[in-house]
Amino acid sequence: MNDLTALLERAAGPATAPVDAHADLTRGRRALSRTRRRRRALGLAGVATAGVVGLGATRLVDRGGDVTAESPASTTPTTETPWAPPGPDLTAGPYTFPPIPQGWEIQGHRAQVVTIAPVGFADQEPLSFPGKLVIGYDQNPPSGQRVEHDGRTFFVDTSGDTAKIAVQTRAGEPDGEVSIQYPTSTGWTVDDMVTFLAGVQVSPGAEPGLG
Amino acid sequence: MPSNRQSAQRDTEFVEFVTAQRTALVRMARLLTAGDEPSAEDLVQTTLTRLYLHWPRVRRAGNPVGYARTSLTHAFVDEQRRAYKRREIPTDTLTEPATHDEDRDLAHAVLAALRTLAPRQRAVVVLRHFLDLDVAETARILGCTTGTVKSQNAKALDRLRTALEPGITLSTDKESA
Repeated sequence: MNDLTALLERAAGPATAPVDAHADLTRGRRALSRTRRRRRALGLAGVATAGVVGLGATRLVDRGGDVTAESPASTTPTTETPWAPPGPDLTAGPYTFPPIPQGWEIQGHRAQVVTIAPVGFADQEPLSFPGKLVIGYDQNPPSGQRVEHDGRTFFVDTSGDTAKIAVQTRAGEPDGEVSIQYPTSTGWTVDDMVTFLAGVQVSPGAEPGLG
Repeated sequence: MPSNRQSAQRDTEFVEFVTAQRTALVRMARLLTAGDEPSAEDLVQTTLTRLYLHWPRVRRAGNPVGYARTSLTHAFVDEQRRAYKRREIPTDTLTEPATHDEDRDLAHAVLAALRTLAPRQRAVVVLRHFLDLDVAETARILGCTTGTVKSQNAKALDRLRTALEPGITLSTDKESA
């Protein structure tokens, strides 16, 4: 018999090895500098964008949105894609979901994902996700900022070029997390996307993604 | 803005931590990635960079090792998510894992068995059986319930046995937890 802990100890490799801590220190310092530069830039951008808040607020009021929840990108009309008007739910494979954005279409679906992209999008491969809205199902622990909506806890991560929002599936649905990811350049608000994800239903045919 | 003295203190403490703990973090990452050395190194670098960025908070919390383990696990899970984002058709062909053990065959077999686990199961195995964390702490790090940890652990052990036996017979004192 082999003890699992002992096997893992062997597989993990040597317990001693040369360490170059200064390489990590250099990476850390660079990251800190980038963070501080970004914060300064955001501070300046905040002053610059204050003048266009009126325009954005008008649009948000029309949609019943929340000004405070809007991402900075959504104040840039040139990159904004209108969100979908109310309408009947759509179904693709084991996923049922609210209407998708205007000018977007379902590219394809698998048991793990539904891929949605702008009409005529250059990348027509449904299993290639950059620049697209993707509904997925997996069994990984969610991470990100917690947002409460309709009695459920959503985990929001809008830190990169691609935003991700995840929520635990409902009782009666396959156990795990259902999520959406989308490019932040669309300017879609977190409120809109949380509402969209809250409307996603997962049927038993769904399979968790490998990730 | 932080003073030069504060920056110097951060640097000194960080270097001391990295010197003492980096190898342990690499070993943990090697198991999480099932022997994928480049990915393991990336995870550790990401973890340590985050640690440096948040060092004042890490210092206040008083448990930098715990913070680093949690951060590393989250980096692993996040990376799996990003992999999911750009995932194409899965392939069975993987880079030959690097090991440093004298008994390379055994180490390779264990790493290959770990590759058969879902990321969350692998994380449970590493946290519970390699780091010897209890169920509650494992659940806290993974952001799930203790029941999920137990069920994932049981499934993971089943899969590991299937992958390893009959060549290697597995035993553990954490069978149902």
